[in-house]
This record gives sequence, structure tokens and C-alpha cells, in this order.
Amino acid sequence: MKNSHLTFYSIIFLTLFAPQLSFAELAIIVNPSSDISSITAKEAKRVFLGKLKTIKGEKLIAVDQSENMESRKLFYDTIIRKTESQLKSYWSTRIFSGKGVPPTTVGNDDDVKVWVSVNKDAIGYVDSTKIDNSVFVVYTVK
Amino acid sequence: MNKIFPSLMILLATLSITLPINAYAGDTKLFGFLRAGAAMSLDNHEVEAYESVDRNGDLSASTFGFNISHEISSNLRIAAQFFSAGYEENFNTHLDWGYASFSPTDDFTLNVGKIKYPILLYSEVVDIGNVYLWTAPPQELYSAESEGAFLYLESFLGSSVIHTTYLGKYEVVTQVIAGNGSVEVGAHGSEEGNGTLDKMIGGSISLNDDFFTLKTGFNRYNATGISALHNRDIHVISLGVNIDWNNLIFTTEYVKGVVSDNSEADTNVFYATLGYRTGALTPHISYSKLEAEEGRNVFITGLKYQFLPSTTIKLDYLQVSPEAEHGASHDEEPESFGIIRGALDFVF
Repeated sequence: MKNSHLTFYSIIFLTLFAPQLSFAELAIIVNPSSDISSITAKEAKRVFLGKLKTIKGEKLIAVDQSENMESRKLFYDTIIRKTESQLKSYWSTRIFSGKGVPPTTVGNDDDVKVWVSVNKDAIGYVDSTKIDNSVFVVYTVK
Repeated sequence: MNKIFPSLMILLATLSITLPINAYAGDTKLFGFLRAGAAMSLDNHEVEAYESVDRNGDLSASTFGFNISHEISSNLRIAAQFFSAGYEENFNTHLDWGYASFSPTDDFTLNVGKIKYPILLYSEVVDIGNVYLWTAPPQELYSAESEGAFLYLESFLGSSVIHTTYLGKYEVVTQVIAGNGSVEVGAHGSEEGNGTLDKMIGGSISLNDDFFTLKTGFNRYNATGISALHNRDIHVISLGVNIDWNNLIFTTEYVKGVVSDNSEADTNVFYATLGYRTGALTPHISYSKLEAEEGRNVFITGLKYQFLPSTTIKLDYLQVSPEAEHGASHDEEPESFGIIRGALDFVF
């Protein structure tokens, strides 16, 4: 195929399908006054599963999104690696044996961002497009 | 307590609908679970663990639990759970467990109070239907009617220490318990009543990752008020594995109980379960064996339907084959019988 034809069809293909090829990015965020500058995926997982409450001496209180949110689905697929049913089973085991309770649920990306911006120890996750100066990003999920 | 139970149920059901799923009042959170269960035997039988199930059917498997947790500070928490069951008179509500939990670090926790027995794979969550496949965990192990030296312990009064560390991708949880427990007994020909398990000390080590759990446990106690086990030391060891990988589910557990100076009361229990998740449905098969003075073999085939993340519907068929008592003739071998069990479980 001539280079000109290849270029033409590539442009057509990208024009038609580029929007579908874009991938959502999540940002794990903390309050700007927090001394935590970064965390690992493993640490984030342990925080949201109730197994880690401090990092480098800094207290962390996780805040979650509602079950039908796209950001929540991406977060639990990539970081926690549990389906909603597996997650419910995990928290049922911890709640009803007294070992812990799930994070507070506040709603969607905007609700999480507001919560984290006003609570010094809060940690949450939002769509990267929501990030502004009111929160600080400590990990990006791609 | 039994008179206020219906009103309490209505109040809590209303709260569960009108409040967010994690009812939050400051640092206090409320949770609950509910099971509507039924069972029917297809044949006549006299096996104690399934005594309440006859050809007329049995609705006593229904249960209700209410859980409250309060965080006093970042490392001090108290929690309690109240429980009612149809197999108890008039759904009498009692304290299932309640204890204070102190965690000076993320890796160390001290619990003091009435604690759910933590040594076995499912002993802490035996009443929480959505964490396992069956309508109820194998009764050869997880039943107060279980024969033999191993006495299923629902909870104990005492303390536990939990330590967590990590070896590569594996989480290693070590737990030590100490205290006293009480059990309702009816085994070994003893009169029904309460026996005690004193001077209990035990522990477990579990190795966990995203798909796999290996748990080994040990417990030692002195039994009193339990007929053939009276004033004897009992040692129990256990080993359990749970795998949930790519829709394949496998669970197995082995428990051995040894009674000092009474080897006839020694008991072994084994079960294995294999399931495969296809969408919301998980068919499964199990084999469970009780080796005791009155042992039995049980085959279970069942289906679990995950209606919602918080709601499951289950149906099991059990083929129970009791073994003849030691020394009995072939003619005295008990007949097998079948049981159908169904359950609707949800948590809130």
C-alpha cells in the first residue's frame, strides 16, 4: 500500500475511533496540608481495605464513592482487584467478626474532592480531569 | 427480649431503607444481616445435627443480626453484634460477640471481651451467608451438635492478639487467643445444657493473597460438664485452604480433635468444596466426612445466585449417609437420607 493511502486511512481511522481509544485516568488524592507526597498502589490497596491507617506517621482516613460510579469501578478493578460481590464478601467478613468497617461513602468524584479538600487526613480517588488546587495527587492510576 | 424482637426488626429494617448503607453518626456505624432459611428432609432420620429437619419442613434456619461499631480514637474501637435465630426459643436475641479493640500500630491489635472464635476458616462468619457458597457451612464441623471431641465454639470470653506482616505479596496473619468458652451440649449421651471450656489457649497462622488463603490453627482447653469429656484436656488442630481464582472456587478444611485418656472420643472432620462462577450463578459440589463415634458422610450439590452484591439466593441438596456405630452389625447400619435446603441471605 502506498504511503499516501496508508496515511489517509490512518487519519480516517483515528478521526472515527480516537474518542473510544482514550483511557480514563484516576488520581488518588489527599488534602494539600498532608505531609504525604506519594504512595504506592500496594499502600493504597491496604488503606482502602482497612489494613493501613498511617503512612510515615501520617494518619489516613479513606473515603469511597457510591457503587454505581465509573471511577469506583475503575479503582476497584485496577487497585483493589475485587468485584463488587467479592468486595461485599470481604467487608462482610471484617464487619461481622469485628475486625473493621468499610470507608465512608460520599457519592461521586466531586463529592470526594470536596471531602478530601476539607479533611486533613482524608484520602480518596477521583477522575483525573477533576483535579485542581484544592487537592494533592499522590498516585495516578492509568 | 423476645417480646421486643418483632418491633426491633421492623425498626431496623426501616432504618436500613431510610439511612445510607453505612449509617453514620459521628464515628458510629450500624450494619446487619438477615437470612430467611428453610429445609426439608426427604426421608425420616435420627441424625442429631439435622434433628430439626424432618419431612414436614423446618424454618428454624432463619437468622437476624445487628452490628454496631464505634471508633473512640484512631487506634481504639469497640464493636458488638446481637443475634437472633429461629432455632432458639422465640427468636431470643443475645449478644453474639462484643469487644474492645486496641491497635497501637497498623500491624498489631489487642482484643478483649467476648470474641467470635477465630481459629477455623468460617467460624467467625458462620451466620453470614454471603461469604460462602453453601446454605450453611458443613454441619459436620460448624454445628453445636457436632459429635466428638471437637466442640464447635461460637465465641469465647477472653482476649486475642493479632499480628500482621508481609512476605512479598503474601500477607501473614498470626493470632493468639486465651480465655474460657461455653457450649450447649447434647452429644455423648449427656443431658442438654451448658458445658464449659476452661483454660483455653490457641492460635492460628494464615497466609493470604488476592486469590488464596491457607490457615492453620491450634487450640487446647479443658472441658467440664460434658459427660464423656468431663475434666479432660482437649487438643484441636486444623488446616484450611480457600482459593478463588478466575471463577474457580475451592475450599477444604481438616480438623482433628484429641481427648486425653479417651481415644474413643477423638474426632476427625474433613470437607472439600469445588465451585465454578458463571456470571451470577455458582454451582458447587462438596464432600464432608465426620469420623467419630457416630460418623457420617455427606455429599452436597448446590447453586448460589448472586442476586445483588449484598443479596444471595441459594439452594442445596444434601445426601447424608450415617455410619454404623462402632461394633454394630451390618443390619444395624443406618439408612441414608436426603435434605433440601434453601436460603435468602442479605447484608445491610
